[in-house]
Amino acid sequence: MESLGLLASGLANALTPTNLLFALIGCTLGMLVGVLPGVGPTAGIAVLIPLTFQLNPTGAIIMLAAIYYGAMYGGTITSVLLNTPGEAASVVTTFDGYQMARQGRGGVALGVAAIGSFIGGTVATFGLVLVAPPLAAFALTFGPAEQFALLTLGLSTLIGLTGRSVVAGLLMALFGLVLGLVGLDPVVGTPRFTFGIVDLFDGIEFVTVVMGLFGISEVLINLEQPALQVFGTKISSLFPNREEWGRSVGSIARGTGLGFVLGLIPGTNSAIASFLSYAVERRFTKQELGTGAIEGVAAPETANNAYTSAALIPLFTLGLPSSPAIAVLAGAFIINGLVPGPLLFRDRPDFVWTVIASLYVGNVMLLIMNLPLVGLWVSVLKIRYPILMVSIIVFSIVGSYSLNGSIFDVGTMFFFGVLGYLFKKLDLPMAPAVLALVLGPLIERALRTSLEISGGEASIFIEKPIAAALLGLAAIILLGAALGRLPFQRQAAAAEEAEV
Amino acid sequence: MARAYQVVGVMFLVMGVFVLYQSLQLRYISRGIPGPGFFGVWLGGLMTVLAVVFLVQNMLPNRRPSGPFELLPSGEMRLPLLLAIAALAVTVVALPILGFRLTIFGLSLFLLSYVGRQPLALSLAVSAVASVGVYYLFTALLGVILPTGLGGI
Repeated sequence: MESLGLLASGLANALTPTNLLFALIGCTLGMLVGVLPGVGPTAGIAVLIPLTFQLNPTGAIIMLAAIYYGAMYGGTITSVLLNTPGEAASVVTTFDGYQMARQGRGGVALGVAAIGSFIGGTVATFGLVLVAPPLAAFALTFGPAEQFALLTLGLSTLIGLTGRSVVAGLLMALFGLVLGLVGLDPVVGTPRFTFGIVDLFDGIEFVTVVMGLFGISEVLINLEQPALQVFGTKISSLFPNREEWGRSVGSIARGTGLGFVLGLIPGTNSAIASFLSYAVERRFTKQELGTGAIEGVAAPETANNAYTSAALIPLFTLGLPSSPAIAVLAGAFIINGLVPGPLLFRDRPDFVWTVIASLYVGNVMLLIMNLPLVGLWVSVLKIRYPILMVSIIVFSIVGSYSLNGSIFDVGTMFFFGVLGYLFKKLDLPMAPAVLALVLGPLIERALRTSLEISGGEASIFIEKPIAAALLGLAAIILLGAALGRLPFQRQAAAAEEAEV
Repeated sequence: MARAYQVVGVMFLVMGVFVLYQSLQLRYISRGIPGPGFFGVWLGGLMTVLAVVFLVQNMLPNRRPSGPFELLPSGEMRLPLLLAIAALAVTVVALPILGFRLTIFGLSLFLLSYVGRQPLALSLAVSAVASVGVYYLFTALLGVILPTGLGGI
């Protein structure tokens, strides 16, 4: 009940005109990020971070979080109308959504997707309200050994669910961990891998790496592809009829539950949620999926939005970003002087509950934006790609420079842009590298502090039951992945192949 | 494709050995507790071992990936792509000399008119907005400091 009181107070803050404006701007930008092919939510948030530099931390995170979940709504439109997903989580929506559009039911597909997204996002946010405070309180009892084990588990899950080769995933994670070594040693301050370059003393700026790997590399990849052709699509009714409603209710309920549970598991992502939800729907529905079945749109769209809200739980309660997009959001927390984790609930309840309440507000805004304004978003697709390309590059330059006022960061971003281009061409998974870069310094600090406490005895990780259990689970996940026996592994591989 | 992965494996191997070597130059244990080289030694060692596994996997006839690998696109998009990458490198050098507005104007104009093949009038207009417009948006409205050139431009 205390949570509901705090939520009410947060809602009052979220409904102030300024915070409403930030949420509206964030939702609009998120819709744009989702609608426009070639700009994913990870790059979208990273590139747009500089827009928040002058805002207070609450306003900044409200806006960036709105970009994140707004992108999930926006990605649906191009999937349904153009058979071109705006982001990876909407790939599955093309299977039935586009077929529905071809049958003249595109409006209904968009309608059920928006309503399902709203229900999934709202229910998951309510789950966040219920689950987060006790989980944060429990996490406060964690010592460095448990923290090390938890961070290792998060990274292991991501590696296990990434790509076809566990070895490649591990190598990419190690690459990210090595990047995290650059700079002054976090415990004793010795320079490491700085090569005498002063700009490297503070380490490699995480946001510039993300802008390069996910933003600039995407621009370079898109230069190789023909421009997207937009054709006229007539949208009639947006609301499903009684029979379609009946078929969608179960799919929306299953999508909500599945998306919420997956959001709690570090290392998963919204694309896995939508792919898995589609696979589950195959078993439940009597309709043949892939032929324009409404269940094939309702379930995955609901799941990816439920996932999006639930994925904030590990960040808020454990300080653990579960995907690259959430990791960028964690980076934005740090830029704004906030440390994601359980202490937020204790030290900054005003901030936490305002942001959580803003998720409700944002979901309502997005529902309104989606249903009556769908024609407006379709017209956005007429923006010529070269103009979008220049916009991404210019915003990336502004963003990377303004972090530290350093041209070196701009060069670093371009370097990682070219590297990201090569990784994509080689089909090497970038998510483990990005997450490892964020988690690396935390893992190292927790590991070294644990060993310091135990006098150098590694047995501390076995003697502490929670740490031992988490590390055991991490080992099982990696072993299971190597043997191809991990649950969701097939869906994760499909989601990764579909990455846009 | 297998050859490309073999090259990747070698690069990871070189990186792993380098990290291991550099970390061994730092203290592994300092005053009885793990030192600044501790984590790096483990990371470098693990990377070296895994790089060898990756290399072996991509050399075994029954496991190595098949199919062609094209690092750069063939045909008419190869040169614009390479020039776009070169333009990004030139931007880093030009920013402290020419400042944000002139550099971004030049970069945008090049990307729009040459790489993106847009009409000159449109390219000029968008370049003006991307350079001068963005500069004033961020400096005047959002309080972000952007680079100025040698003459204060």
